[in-house]
Amino acid sequence: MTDAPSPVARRGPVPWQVATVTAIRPETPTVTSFTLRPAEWRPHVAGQHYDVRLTAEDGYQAERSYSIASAPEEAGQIDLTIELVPDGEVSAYFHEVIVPGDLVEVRGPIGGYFSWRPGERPLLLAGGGSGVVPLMAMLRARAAAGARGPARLLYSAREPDEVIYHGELARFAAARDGFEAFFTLTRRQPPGWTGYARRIDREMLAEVARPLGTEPDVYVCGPTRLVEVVADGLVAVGVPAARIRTERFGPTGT
Amino acid sequence: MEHADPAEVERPDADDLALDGNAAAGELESLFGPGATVSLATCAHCGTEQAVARLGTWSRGPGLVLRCCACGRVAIRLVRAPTVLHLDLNGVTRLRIPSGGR
Ligand SMILES: Cc1cc2nc3c(=O)[nH]c(=O)nc-3n(C[C@H](O)[C@H](O)[C@H](O)COP(=O)(O)OP(=O)(O)OC[C@H]3O[C@@H](n4cnc5c(N)ncnc54)[C@H](O)[C@@H]3O)c2cc1C
Ligand SMILES: [Zn+2]
Repeated sequence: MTDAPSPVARRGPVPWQVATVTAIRPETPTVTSFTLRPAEWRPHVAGQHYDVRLTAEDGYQAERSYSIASAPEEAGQIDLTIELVPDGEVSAYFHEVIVPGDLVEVRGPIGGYFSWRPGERPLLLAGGGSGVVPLMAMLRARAAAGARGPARLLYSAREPDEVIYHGELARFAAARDGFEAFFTLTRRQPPGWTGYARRIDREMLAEVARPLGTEPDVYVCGPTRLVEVVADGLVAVGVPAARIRTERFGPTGT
Repeated sequence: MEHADPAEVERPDADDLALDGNAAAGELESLFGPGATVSLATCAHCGTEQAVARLGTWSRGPGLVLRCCACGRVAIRLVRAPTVLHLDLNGVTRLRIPSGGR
């Protein structure tokens, strides 16, 4: 890459601050959404995240990143959607300890690379597991802006129960505003399933990407391994590497 | 657990733990401003220029280690101790940081 760094909006340093948990909503058996009201809300761009910091009584701290699920239009609050990771320090705290009214320490919005502003350029979103969270923020922002450019989501989950935002994605797809959703269920499919039923591969990527032309904007997010398979696969089927933006969530939640 | 398919077995497990520069955004933005992860870093070892968001990132342990996405050598190391922040930029010859507003 030889292009100049892309410009970023001017904003002050993002300080740690306290946010109040105002609502808790189960999404799947292992995924829950939390609405947080930061003391000082700052507008975000879809795809950005917050850092969350927990401090134990003895001073030990654990810090993790969580993508913002909500669209920037929801001023004053943010939604985080958190998957419970077995033995996970921070995710288990959210799932098992936090109740509405609790305070958590956060800083954000953070990140400028994996972010998308509504526009009409062809858009391809691909993700697995909780990697769909920042992609959902993009789709929510797209719907809020009334964008009508072609947009496709390819979402990999193991089982039907594990598909996050299922109802809302179905509504977005039914709006026929240029958005289409493609699902692959890798381990178990419901009776009569017509979607994909295998791990994301090149053939699947080619089928989903091709109608978007040669230069879609691409965002890939999820477990590290999935992100690499998908990004490499997209390049192999002809998507320019420079158009692909990736965000790795680590080993969890294939 | 699903069994891994052959294409995946060849990758060493440590790679599963790798994040990317997005995971270091909070820390890097506190030093370099909101453009930190879209900044372009030139690797001192192989000369590849890449967005900081694309650097391989290991964030557990006492600090952050960011590695070139082309050659895998260390680009940036950052350790926060109680009273001092250590920033080692030995692996980067140039960092082009967008300065934002005009
Ligand atoms: C930019 C970004 C955005 C993210 N957004 C989301 C989101 O929207 N939703 C979401 O659910 N998650 C998201 N994540 C992942 C999240 O930050 C945490 O990694 C996840 O919640 C697990 O944290 P934990 O404290 O619960 O688990 P941990 O206590 O960190 O443990 C996780 C599990 O993985 C293993 N593990 C992880 N790292 C290591 C390591 N270095 N060495 C050994 N074992 C390890 C542990 O053994 C354990 O089983 C995001 C990550 C990034 C980088
Ligand atoms: Zn290099």
